Amino acid sequence: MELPRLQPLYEKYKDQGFEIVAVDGKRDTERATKFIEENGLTYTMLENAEDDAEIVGSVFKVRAYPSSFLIDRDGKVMYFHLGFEEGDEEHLEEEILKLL
Amino acid sequence: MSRKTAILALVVLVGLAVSCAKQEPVDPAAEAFASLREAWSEAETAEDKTALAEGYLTSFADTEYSGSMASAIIYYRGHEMEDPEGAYEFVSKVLENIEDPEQRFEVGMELLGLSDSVEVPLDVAQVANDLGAVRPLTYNEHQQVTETAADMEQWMVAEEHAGAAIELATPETYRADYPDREFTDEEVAERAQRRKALSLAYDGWALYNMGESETAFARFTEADAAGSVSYVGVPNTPLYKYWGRAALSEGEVDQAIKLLGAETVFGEDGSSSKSYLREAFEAKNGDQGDFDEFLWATRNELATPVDDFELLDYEGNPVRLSSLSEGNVTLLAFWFPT
Repeated sequence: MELPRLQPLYEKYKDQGFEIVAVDGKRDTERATKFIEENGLTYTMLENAEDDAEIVGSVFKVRAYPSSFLIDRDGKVMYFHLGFEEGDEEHLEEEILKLL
Repeated sequence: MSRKTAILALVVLVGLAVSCAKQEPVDPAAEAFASLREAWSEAETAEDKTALAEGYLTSFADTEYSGSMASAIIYYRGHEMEDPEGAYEFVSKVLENIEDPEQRFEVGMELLGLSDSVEVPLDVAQVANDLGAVRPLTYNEHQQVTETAADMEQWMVAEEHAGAAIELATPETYRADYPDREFTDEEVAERAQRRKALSLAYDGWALYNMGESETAFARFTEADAAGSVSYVGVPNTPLYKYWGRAALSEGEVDQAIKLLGAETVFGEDGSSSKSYLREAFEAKNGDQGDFDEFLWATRNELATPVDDFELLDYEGNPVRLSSLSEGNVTLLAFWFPT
């Protein structure tokens, strides 16, 4: 899983106003907490809600994981990325820099 | 041995086999698969996973697991280890030993998926027909044949199977495909529509490449009406890519720019449309205008405000997205722990 590869980006840019919010769409609390601890992830990690309150599928229409959206300072969704392969973090960094 | 004795001997043998089976109900292939699964969770590298899958297929070529093992080899050895030739060579030898038509189809389709990088002497229509001779193909199988044939530019095969897929894209078929799952009527209807939109997009593209542009554009329009859009407002099918490329070839530059622009900035596979968008942009502007500026403007024009939400963190505290994102640049990532 690629979430640990976001940690360096977070540390590099958080002082310039960069945030990461990761939402666990499958609500696998036990695995998730273990994963967060093992990988020393310090950005915001949330859990999808259940049933009618869930937002991952109904609001964000996520069909596959990982799905990522980059939001600019005005709250507009400026970039969407599906999947996360080797080297994607460089591309993501370019997109972050355009918005910072 | 007289015929009677032979039959008696056979009965005894069968009885022996049955009693053995009762005492020890072990299928070696299933047992080996169970230990492979255990080893798989420990395997860290593509090399490890390839070795496990190849080891399994060397011992048990023709089982219900052949398709998934072949797919693992093609993924890990072919893509991750960048050895498509090696993956092809191994899996194509395995295919020679497979008789089960279901597995022959699965493995055959996996091999055909390599045709971008390896010369695969299989005939996609034949692979589909071999299974079709045993039972009708499912929606997913028709769609898989369509996509593979389209990759190989075998447009008539793609068109035939896209047409069959469209016919099967009904709520009833969707429900029948997943008998163990409980879906509401709305869910089933929505998924059937999604299937239909996907197959229509491919059908349109195949028809366009066969020179039937009028029917092709009708399919694209139908796909657009049938399909839903992603959160960022573009279809989650290759519709805009294919429709945009067809429009570009027809000289419909403005339409091409609109479709390929949206797909390039917000499509699931947007980067694959970028060169066609550039072509359309240049066709319209000559060497005037800056393509990167245009891309940025397109992005700004199509971008919409994010929906705010509140969810719990792992300590149970409610956290509102806007409390973090306001005034900041925010990456919102949906994931699941593996």
